[in-house]
Amino acid sequence: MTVPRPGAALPTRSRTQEALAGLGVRSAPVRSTASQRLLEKASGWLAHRTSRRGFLVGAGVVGSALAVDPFGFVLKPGTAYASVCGPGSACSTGWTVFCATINQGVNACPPGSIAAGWWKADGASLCGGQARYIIDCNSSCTRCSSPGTRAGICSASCWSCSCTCGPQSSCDQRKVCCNSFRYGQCNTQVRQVGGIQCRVVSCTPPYVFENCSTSVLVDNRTSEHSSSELPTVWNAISARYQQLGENGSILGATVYGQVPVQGGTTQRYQNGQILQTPTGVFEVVGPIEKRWVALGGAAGVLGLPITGFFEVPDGGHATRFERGRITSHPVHGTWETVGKVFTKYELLGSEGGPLGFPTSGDTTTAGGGHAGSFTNGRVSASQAGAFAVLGAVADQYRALGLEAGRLGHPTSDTASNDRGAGVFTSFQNGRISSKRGAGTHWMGPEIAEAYRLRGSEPGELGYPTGDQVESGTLLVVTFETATLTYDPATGQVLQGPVQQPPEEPVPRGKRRIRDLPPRPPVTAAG
Amino acid sequence: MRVDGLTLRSPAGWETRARRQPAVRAGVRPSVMLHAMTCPIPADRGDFGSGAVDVLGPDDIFVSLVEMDAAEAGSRLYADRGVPTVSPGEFSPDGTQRPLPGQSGGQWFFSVAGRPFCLFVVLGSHARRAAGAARVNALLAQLDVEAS
Repeated sequence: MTVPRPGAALPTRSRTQEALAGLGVRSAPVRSTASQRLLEKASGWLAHRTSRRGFLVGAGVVGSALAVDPFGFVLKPGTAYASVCGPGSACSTGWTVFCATINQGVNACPPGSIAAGWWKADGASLCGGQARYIIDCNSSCTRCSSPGTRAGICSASCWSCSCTCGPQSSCDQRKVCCNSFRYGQCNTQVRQVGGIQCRVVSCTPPYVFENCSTSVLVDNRTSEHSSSELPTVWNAISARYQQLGENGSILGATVYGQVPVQGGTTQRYQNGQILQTPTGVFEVVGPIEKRWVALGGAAGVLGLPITGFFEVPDGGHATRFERGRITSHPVHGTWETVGKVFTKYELLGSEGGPLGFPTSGDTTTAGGGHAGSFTNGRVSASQAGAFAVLGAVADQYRALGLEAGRLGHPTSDTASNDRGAGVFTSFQNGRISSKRGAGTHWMGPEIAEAYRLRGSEPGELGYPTGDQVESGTLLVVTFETATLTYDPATGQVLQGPVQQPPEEPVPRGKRRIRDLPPRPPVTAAG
Repeated sequence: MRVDGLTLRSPAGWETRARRQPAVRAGVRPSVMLHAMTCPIPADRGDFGSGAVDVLGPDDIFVSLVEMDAAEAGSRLYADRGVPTVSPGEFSPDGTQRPLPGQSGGQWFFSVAGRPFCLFVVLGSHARRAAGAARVNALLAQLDVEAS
């Protein structure tokens, strides 16, 4: 058992453990290529020679070692772990540790430190053979107020961190907060900073995303410096991340390295993931990623992403998955649409269609159906199919208890059968009809069937002007031109004239509203 | 040696090299960098001496004078004016990008003629920093900076 040195940074969990934590995805084998099979063999062999078997095999360290330092690893396989971290990874070499190593896998300046300078290292394998940029994160001078020095570094006794070595849980055991040095291109408005706490790496120039100038300084000897807590390969995920802007992108900094998930590989970031799947490389970002993870991620109901993060109308964003979609909106929230509900939603134009934005996730309904609520309606799926209930009809449906209420599941979409004069929706146990002027009203199955036989909305009865009501043992619906009365005792529906409701008596001294003089119109100008 | 308005008449015992830093943006004048060593300067070296400081003997010195982006000239870090005179007390064993046993480093940020610079010095021996500082000052006394 390894005992941390006094004053040393706390050991971190293994990269694989950390990366999988919070991903919401089940780790699964990735389809083997010839090179991967070779690596697996190497891993198996190595597993007998090291106590870090789980780390080495699970995190693909062997493959990374071959990528970063192939000759060193093949000739000295016992040093695979160190090969991942590149040359000069011991504390005694004097180099500074990577931030990911001491910052819970996050490749960003830790709290209390700021970028103070950067340099470029050409021909870096971890940037696809292109330039790699290393940014020094210097601590702050918070422990005292010293006058400072001409070096732009305050006295070491004032630094916000103390000199130590990297954790023994990582092969990156370089120095933490020991070196009093400043490259001098970043945050030059700050006269004094503390020593270098750690280093951030990027394949994008830091002046793109940090408060740094474009003064280029070069140190190619550091091109292969790395950490077991950083991404250890350059691949399609890395390229996509670079395309999006790396640390300056909406994804933020990397969090540990890439790990296999069901059906692909993922890289976690501060604000999302990028996954390589059989259909491509896609990012899942922000609240959408959080929701996706909560739903089980790649192994969950939605499956793998099949698009990246894209804008939808009205300030929203969405991502498509194998079996659904997640839509995020700053007001309406972040919700998934899945299965038949999702198919219907997309058929109707998704966020830009009549349903608008989802306001609930996928919910199970009575009878084993599924439904989702939207800003302007609801999609309800049952064995009869998936149907969209819209607008005022949806409001009434909701008031009647939705699928568990008296009407049951819809059996038609909300549609018009009279060229847009009004709309209706059929349900398992009734119908709702809606027209401006007549209102939105429901009727039970018996009257709904009689109404249908009489031509429904475009027929002689017109639209209902009231909800179905009980009158003794009878059920009555009043329409624009007639009433339909259902007698449960006989099972018959009879048509009759419209009956005007009797006016209620007005108390003495009061006047009906219709008898009052008209109020002056109110205008926007008040 | 004269490069882009920097003139260095190096005293005996110093070897000097100059580089132009690559300009990132079109239309921006490349910055200039001078290296000076009291021993042969390795061809493969980092701008702040990686690969060069490794070969310093106890009496050797590495000096890097790097011109920064002109826009930095007014910033607080580069607020000091004029080429500095270094003092032994400003050197520290931890004052380098990568401390090596026995060595000592120091840094100075300043502006001259509206041009911001970082001066970085590594002495082969911290114990001999007094003599080293004097030799560095003798070198700096031979430096002239013109406005760009």
